[in-house]
Amino acid sequence: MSAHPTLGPSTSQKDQLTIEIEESKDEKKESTNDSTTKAHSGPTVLQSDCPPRGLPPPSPFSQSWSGATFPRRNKERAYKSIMARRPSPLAVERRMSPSGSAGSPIEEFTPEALEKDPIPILRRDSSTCSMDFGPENDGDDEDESRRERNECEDVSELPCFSPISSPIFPHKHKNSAQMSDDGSMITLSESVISYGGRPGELTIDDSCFDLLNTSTENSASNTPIEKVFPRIFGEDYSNVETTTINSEPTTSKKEEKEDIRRRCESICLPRSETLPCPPDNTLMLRAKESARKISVRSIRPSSVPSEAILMSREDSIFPGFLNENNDGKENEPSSGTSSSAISIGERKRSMRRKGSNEGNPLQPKGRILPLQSIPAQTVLEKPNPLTPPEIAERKIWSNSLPGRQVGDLRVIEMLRVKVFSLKGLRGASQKPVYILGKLDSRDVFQSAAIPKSSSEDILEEFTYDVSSPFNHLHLVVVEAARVGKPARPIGRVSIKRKDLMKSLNKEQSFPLRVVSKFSDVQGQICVDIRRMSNSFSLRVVDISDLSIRDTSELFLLVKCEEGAKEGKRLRIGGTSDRGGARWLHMDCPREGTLSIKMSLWNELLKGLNTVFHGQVRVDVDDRWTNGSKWFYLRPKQSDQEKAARKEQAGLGEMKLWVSYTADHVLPLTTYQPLLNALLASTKNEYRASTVALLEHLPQLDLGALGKPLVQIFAHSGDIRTLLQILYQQEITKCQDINTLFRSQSLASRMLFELMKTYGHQYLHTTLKPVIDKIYSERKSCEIDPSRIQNGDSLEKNTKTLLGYFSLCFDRIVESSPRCPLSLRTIFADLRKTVSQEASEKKTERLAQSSFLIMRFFAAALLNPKSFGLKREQPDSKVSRTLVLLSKVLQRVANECVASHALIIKESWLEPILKQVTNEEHKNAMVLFLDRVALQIPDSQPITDNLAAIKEGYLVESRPRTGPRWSLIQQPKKRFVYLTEESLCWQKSRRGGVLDQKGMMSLSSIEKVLPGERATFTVWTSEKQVGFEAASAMEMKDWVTEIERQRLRRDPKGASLGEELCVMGNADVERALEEVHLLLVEHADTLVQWRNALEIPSTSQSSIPSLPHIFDLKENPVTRQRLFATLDTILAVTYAIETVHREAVSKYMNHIRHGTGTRENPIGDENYLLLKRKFSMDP
Amino acid sequence: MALSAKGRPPEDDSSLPKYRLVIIGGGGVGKSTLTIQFFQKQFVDYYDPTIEDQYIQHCEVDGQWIIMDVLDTAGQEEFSAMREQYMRTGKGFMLVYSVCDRKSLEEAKRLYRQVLRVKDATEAPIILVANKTDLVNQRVISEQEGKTLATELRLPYIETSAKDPPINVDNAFHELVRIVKSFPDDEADLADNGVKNAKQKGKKGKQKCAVM
Repeated sequence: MSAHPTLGPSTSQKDQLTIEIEESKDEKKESTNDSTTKAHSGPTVLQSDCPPRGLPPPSPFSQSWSGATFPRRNKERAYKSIMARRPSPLAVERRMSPSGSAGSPIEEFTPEALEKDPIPILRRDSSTCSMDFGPENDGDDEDESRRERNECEDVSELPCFSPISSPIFPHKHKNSAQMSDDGSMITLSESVISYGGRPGELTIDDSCFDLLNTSTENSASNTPIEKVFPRIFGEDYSNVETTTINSEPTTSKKEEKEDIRRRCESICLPRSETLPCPPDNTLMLRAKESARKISVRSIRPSSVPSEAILMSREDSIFPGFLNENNDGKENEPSSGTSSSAISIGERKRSMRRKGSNEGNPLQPKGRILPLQSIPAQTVLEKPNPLTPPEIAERKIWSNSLPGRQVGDLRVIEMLRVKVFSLKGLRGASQKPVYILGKLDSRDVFQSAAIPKSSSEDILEEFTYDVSSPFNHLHLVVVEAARVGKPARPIGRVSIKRKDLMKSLNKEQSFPLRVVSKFSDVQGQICVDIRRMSNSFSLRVVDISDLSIRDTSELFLLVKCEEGAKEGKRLRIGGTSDRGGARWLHMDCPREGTLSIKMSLWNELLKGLNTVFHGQVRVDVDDRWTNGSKWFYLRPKQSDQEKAARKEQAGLGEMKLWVSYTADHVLPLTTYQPLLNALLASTKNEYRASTVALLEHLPQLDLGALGKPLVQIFAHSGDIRTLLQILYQQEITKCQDINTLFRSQSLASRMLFELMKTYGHQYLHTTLKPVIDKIYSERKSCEIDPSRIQNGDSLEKNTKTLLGYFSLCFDRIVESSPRCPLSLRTIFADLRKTVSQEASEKKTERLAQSSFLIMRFFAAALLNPKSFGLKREQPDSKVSRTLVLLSKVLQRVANECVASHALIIKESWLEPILKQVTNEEHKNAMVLFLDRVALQIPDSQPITDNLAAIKEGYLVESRPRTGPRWSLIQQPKKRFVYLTEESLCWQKSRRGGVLDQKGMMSLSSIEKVLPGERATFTVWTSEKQVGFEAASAMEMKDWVTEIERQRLRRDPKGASLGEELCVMGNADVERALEEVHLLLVEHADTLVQWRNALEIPSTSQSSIPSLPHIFDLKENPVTRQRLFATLDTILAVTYAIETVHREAVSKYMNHIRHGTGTRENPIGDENYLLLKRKFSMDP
Repeated sequence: MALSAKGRPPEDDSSLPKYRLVIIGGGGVGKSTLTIQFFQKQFVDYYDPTIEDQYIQHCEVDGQWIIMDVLDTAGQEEFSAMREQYMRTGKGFMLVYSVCDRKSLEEAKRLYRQVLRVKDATEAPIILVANKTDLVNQRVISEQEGKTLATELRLPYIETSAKDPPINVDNAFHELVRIVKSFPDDEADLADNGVKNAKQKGKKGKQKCAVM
């Protein structure tokens, strides 16, 4: 077969693995039943082995089983005439030649270009780190790649393994070795090598080296329909050139079948595995058909159920999986197009063995068998197009821990985007716009509507845990839909993923570009091209990552520049033919470079419409090596040109900030020592504890420490103890009671995190109705005479403001029963600790108010968006109202706890302040504070109407019970709202209870499952109801919110730690990794401190670098303990870091040696940087 | 309200240059105390955390009457979402830290970086203010250290105490105005501020006022 291992990294395609095996005669007898059982590994397409290089291509002959019939002449003619008249899809403009014009993609073939595009992304904390390895690595890498190539040479003699990777161009190799600064680059360069051509001559699209997985979630409906022409050249025509398979009856059917079965069994699927059936009889049929073939090539069909993939993924991660199951020399991985994780070395060995065993290497023997060996990461996130979506989705959902598992490493990629402003948006229309964040064709973010007038200064922000690889981040500015008018994209900013990894950690302005309907061409195609003396033949081995799900109607139009004017059409669609059974045979000149243009089309409506899905151009010259290669599908040049032309018009500008980072998380056991050290902080003297060390690290972002600490301690159940210690520290340190808990400290940070985590729901229920009201009414509340608008009356505004305030204030002061017990306990602790230091009740309340009012309610009122209460940024009027409300609320709280009467800061506010800070309000506030902190019992349980936590229109589809015919789901638009008690839906927003169409109490809901696209299903024991939201984002919001409400009611929520776990936020491993990163970052400081403390305490000189708190001259015992803690923590950090490095280097080897670069975006050189940074004696 | 002692502000305040200044710094470092001391000439020493207060007054700096529009902000990290907005609109910044609180110094560094980032510039009109110098016993950040930081960040440095008798409070504000005045600004902003270009001043100034 044309495959070669070194192709692996760049061309790895999860869909298939071919395995070369020796023919074995001893398995002839096997029941057909068995074969069918094994068919579950996927329909197996059997076909001939490839001819040895230099031999003529398989002689074309049509296969009746493929359903093909011989073409009729008139059809061909008709097709030709149509093609001549129309702007034909054959007109492939883009020449992907290196010698092409400026901007030709070939420039990326040069080492410099490769160097420009490092794949690895920075580990989280390390934006400032440089990107080079230590010198010692360079050598290793070079050696390694050389070794590999040598092995390749050996193998290249084997005909079945295409010699494409033989080092024809040593200089190229050298380049590649030199630039092997990291694994990924090696991967890239190897890919270049594997093409066996000099950059100058190698004229394939560069982007085949950039095979990143793209989403296949989009349906055909998203693909623009470009041309409409009648179906004359349908299936029939396609088979003119489509010939199949050189066959040589050497094995019997039975043998064949048995062999398949056995391979399947030994390689991928245990017999016992139960799986949903693939299309009936698939394997049987195929096996029968392929009876005369001497080799089997199998491609994982799209219909393989995800369970199968999931099942096998665990094993497929690491080398050896295949080997273990490999009985003797029979199952040998050989496919360059495979993405199996077999290490190169392993493969090489087995291949050599094979080579030596086989008498005549020109006589291809053996089989290529299916293997569901797919890198783990691709499996979960990217369900195969034909996989039942809910299965895949469920897997995603049930996987509570974020990130991709790569061996021991869990890689969590995070994309953070802030959009600061939109400028100069074209178009006079004043319709609001919104920003749509997309990773390729997947929506990941949708901002609220932004009025165009105010789009000069907006701030949208989102964080996305990247779960699957992507090519581009698109930020599309869309003009919102209005009644009768669909949403219209204005323009977009697209950033390549590899650019994201670079230093985009700053604000930059990007011009908006045209949203071309064609530019979303995505996917890769694996084509096997063989050139003979005066002809060439090609076949499509596989396609992946297309934006369509249904690939049955795909065809490839092939045109040879030098040869015939007309292109030929190769049908590739349909499961029956995936695997490239059909060959396309075309004449071409005997000499010179052969330019082949291939474009991929999809037929819709039985050929009525044809949709372009990308194109590839290949230049085959004398250095071309036959064999299958992956190509990246490209959009049409003309579309790009059109887009470029439009760009000049200036669509506007977007200013944004992006960061793209990855956390590498190890299993909990690795962090155990660190966890122990942290947890010990509450048991011994704080000043000598790990947490104290962390808190006092210089230049530390307390937020980055507080959050993981909350998770870790909440999980362990020690958070109350730790917080009390921290309060104690804070109070001791505080000289002036007026500034108590006002500055930022670890205590304030952690308490805030707690409030945000546990109190989110509480905040939501309490403030959301008021904020919703303010947002929707947009009444002016301006009471500053110098700012008041003409026509507004001060009295009226004052009244409005007071109205809002009393609404808001009442909701707050009556909310104490709603406050989660966990938070109330925390506040009670706070007050208890303060009361030990201060006699006055006021001081207790002051401390409490610093958090509950100032950092929580007032802050959330001021900025509902950042607290998740609203998706829209308030407009200026609403924003002003919120500022005023927040100020007044804060003022009331301040009045309650301050020791003196407060002065008026802004004179215009005086009248209103006088009104609101009356005794009644003050008393209510004091009562509220006391109640929340469990000082006095709650007045009465809240009985008022429950505020809707989430509401909006959804489409309900409920399978009707009853007669069979009524099973048809009837979609109905419903106004759905979620309260603390139940999920209800009714006909319209205005409708009352009478209008209610359905209700589920939260306690009866058993599960909520997201489904296909924007749908989700709510299950109770009695019924299930499906809803469809407007977008997938919206759907996720709903599901999360319902789940949250449901879990909140869960009795398990009583304990703090459990509650956090239930919230799904407790990723302790990740939290520990974050703490570990901080320690690594500050390792130098810790070493300094340790060394400083090593000096005997008798030395009177104070240590300048040591924080004041650790100046323990007078306390030798504590000092000794602190020294011990430092020692421990340094050792622990060092140990974890070592494991880290090992895991990463293993991972990087993994990248280098075979699994796709597509799926493995990390090759983190920061780990190697840390070697230098983190140097100390173990 | 105590205005600057000398003379009265001109009747037509539309022609006066307006300076939008923002007081930033960590929580509890004395931002409001400084501001209130400057505008209202009194020292507040009680708990009254700020959300956002605005003070607009005529002041005479170096013999020129100007309008000072000072925004006193919340220092707590929890209000950081609002920062970007006022950093964008602010022309000059008073970066305050407390000499008694090391964390507030680090907070100041962070805020400094944030201003530059938001302004997308390598430098901005900022004055570094070391407050609470009256609390000699609690002082943990020496003048030397403050000055070193100021040199490092290339900022003017001033030590203040808002407690009566105030030390350097007026100076700090006046100095900030001078910094803003002398800071090379693009044409539009100059016109906006009305510092130069008298022709545009009136018109633009009015517009600006209407907006304010």
